[in-house]
Order: sequence, then structure tokens, then C-alpha cells
Amino acid sequence: MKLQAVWQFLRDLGDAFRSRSTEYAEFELREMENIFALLLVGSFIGIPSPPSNISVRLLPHIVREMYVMGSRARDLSDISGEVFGLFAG
Amino acid sequence: MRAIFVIGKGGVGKTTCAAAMAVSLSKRLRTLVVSLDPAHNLGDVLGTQLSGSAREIAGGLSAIEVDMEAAIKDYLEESARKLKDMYGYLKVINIEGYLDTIRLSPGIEEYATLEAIEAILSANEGQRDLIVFDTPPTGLTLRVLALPKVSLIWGERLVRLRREILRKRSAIQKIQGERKFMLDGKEYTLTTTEEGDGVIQELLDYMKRVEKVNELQTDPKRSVVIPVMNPDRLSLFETRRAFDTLDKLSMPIGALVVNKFSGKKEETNLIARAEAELHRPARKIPLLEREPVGVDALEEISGCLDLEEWLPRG
Repeated sequence: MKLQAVWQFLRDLGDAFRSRSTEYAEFELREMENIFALLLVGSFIGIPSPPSNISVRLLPHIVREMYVMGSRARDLSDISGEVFGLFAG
Repeated sequence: MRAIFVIGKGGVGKTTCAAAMAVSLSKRLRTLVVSLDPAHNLGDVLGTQLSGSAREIAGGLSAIEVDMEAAIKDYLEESARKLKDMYGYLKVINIEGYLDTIRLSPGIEEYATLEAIEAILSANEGQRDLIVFDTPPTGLTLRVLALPKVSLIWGERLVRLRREILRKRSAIQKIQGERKFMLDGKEYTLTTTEEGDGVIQELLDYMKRVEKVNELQTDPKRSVVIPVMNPDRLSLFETRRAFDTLDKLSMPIGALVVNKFSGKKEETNLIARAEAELHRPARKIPLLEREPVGVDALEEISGCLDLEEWLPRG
């Protein structure tokens, strides 16, 4: 039982290190994904965008990403908090 | 395959010149003359009814009138269908609003025209030696001709950003394992490879097709733009502006065709000025009493054109 707890502790510790090590990269990735999607639909909100035929061609292929980004937008309300957390850590 | 783009201000006689060139060249080259001008009159000039499918006019000559209204409608319907299929369930973006915007979006006509050019070039690869495009009025045509370059620049930037996204995803996956996202009870994974990424595949495929058009447009061995103008000042000013844009797009420009030349002194002076300013010789087509209709009448006009030295050599 004790051994199992120690094992679990070590595993959690490993997970925490792994998560910490990629935190910045994941944040950067999320922002790049957001920028990519924003570029594609930017013309609708006045941001200079690629010719709309390119956007229309690509939009069907980023459905999953839009879905994931939608859920992130719902769940993550404090972007600035996350940024400060990243650099303070 | 080679291409000639006949451009000019509305009403200068582009269609007549394009048809006359096509008639003349069809004697030694398998030639297709294509009208991209929404105000079609290629059929009227050739004296026959044309449609969106190639119709044989004479020995080596066929002609098409691309129904631009239908092409735009098809393009929009196809785009709307794709987007609706894929995004219909998403509430985070207002899909109906977007589609309405696309319908009204500036540039749709240009995209549809470029798609039509690309489709005609692909469909006739190996089947024709020469395609003569009778284009819409200068403004629209220049924007269409600029599109491949603009699209390629955007395509390259998007590919670069996409590759960076995939590289980062892959690096994170190596440390964290495959990331799964649960959304509305469904499990999703996001691709980390270029082969599995629909976005990059679609981008590369589109760029390949656009690059083909761009290569053709900018290769003096394979294509040439023939500007048509009338011997008047406005026509000259517009032709001069067209030359500037075509130069920026690195498109080869051939001799100048001056249509409806009546022989008046002021017209002769204006043509001399055009030749000096544009550094191109002018080929004059006289003002005719009757509009030329049919292959025989067009063949007579083609005698005035003498564009041999300006044609792409292939």
C-alpha cells in the first residue's frame, strides 16, 4: 500500500515536471493556433486576411481546432493570469 | 501550351481582336478562344452560338464562352456547402452570417475568374497548343492576373506558420504523449504530421495549382498579354496604367493593338505618342464600316495584326 502511494507520488511528480517543462511551449502553440484561425476568419472582423478563397478552402480542415479553441475560450477566462503565471513561475 | 491574354478598356474591341488572332493562329496551332468577359459577345463576333463547352468553329479553332454568373454561383455554392457541412454545428461562430458576408465579399468575381482560367488550362493541357483569353475590362482583369502572386505570398506565409504549429505540437507530444480533447462527450486528437494535416495538404495543393497559372503568366516563352486600345486619350491613359501593373507582375507584354483607327492626324499623333511611351509598336486596325462577323471577316482583320514576333515561342 505504502509502496503504491510512493509510486503514485513519483508518477505525479514526473507528470508535474513534464507539464511544467512544456507549459511555455503549449502556451505558444495555443497562441499560434489562435493566430492561424484568426488569419483565416479575420476578414470578417476587419483584419487583413488572405484572399477569401484560401480561407474558404482551409476552414473545413480546421474544424477540430476551432472546436478545441471554442472549448478553451469557454474554460479559460483569465489569459493575463496565465501569462503572468508562466513568467512568474 | 501557350496563352494569349487580350486586355483593354471596355468597348475597345478586345473580343474582335482576340477572335481575329485565334482565327489566324488556328491555321497552324490547335487553338481555343475563351471569353471570360461577363458581357459575352464572342459568339456574336464568330457568328455562332457558344456555351461553356468548347464548340468547334473551323479546322483548328474552338471557342468557349464561360458563363461567369454561373461560375460565381457554383463557386459560392460549393464554398457554402463545404462550410455548412463542417461548421453547421458550431455555435461559437455565426456561420450563416459568414456565408452572407462571403456572398457580398469584394473579390468574389476575381476568384471565380481565376478558378475558371485554372480549370480551362488544366482541362486543355496537351489537347491545345494555344489558348486565347478574351478578358473582362482592364480593372477586373488586372486584379485577376495579380491574384496568383498574392495567393502565393499568403500561401507561403500560412504554410510556414502551419509547419511551426505542427513542429511545436509534435515536440509537446513527444514529452506529454498524445493529447486528447474531450468535447461534448467526443474524444479529439490534433494531428502533428504534415501528411495527416488537411490544412497543409490543401494549402500545398492550392499553391501548386496557382503556381502553374503564375508560371504560365510570367513566362515569355509561354504567354503574352496583348493590350488593345482605341486611338483616344482615355484609352491611352488606361493602357499606360495597365502596362505599369503588368510590369510589376512581371508579365510579358506584346505589341499594342490600336482598333478603330480612322486615319485622322490627331489619331496618328496619339498612336506615335503611345508607341514612344509604351516602347511597343502599334498594329492598327482601321475603323470599319461594318462590324466584322464570322471567320472570313475576322481573317481579313488578322492581316492588320502581324503579331508573329510577339507571340510566345513555346
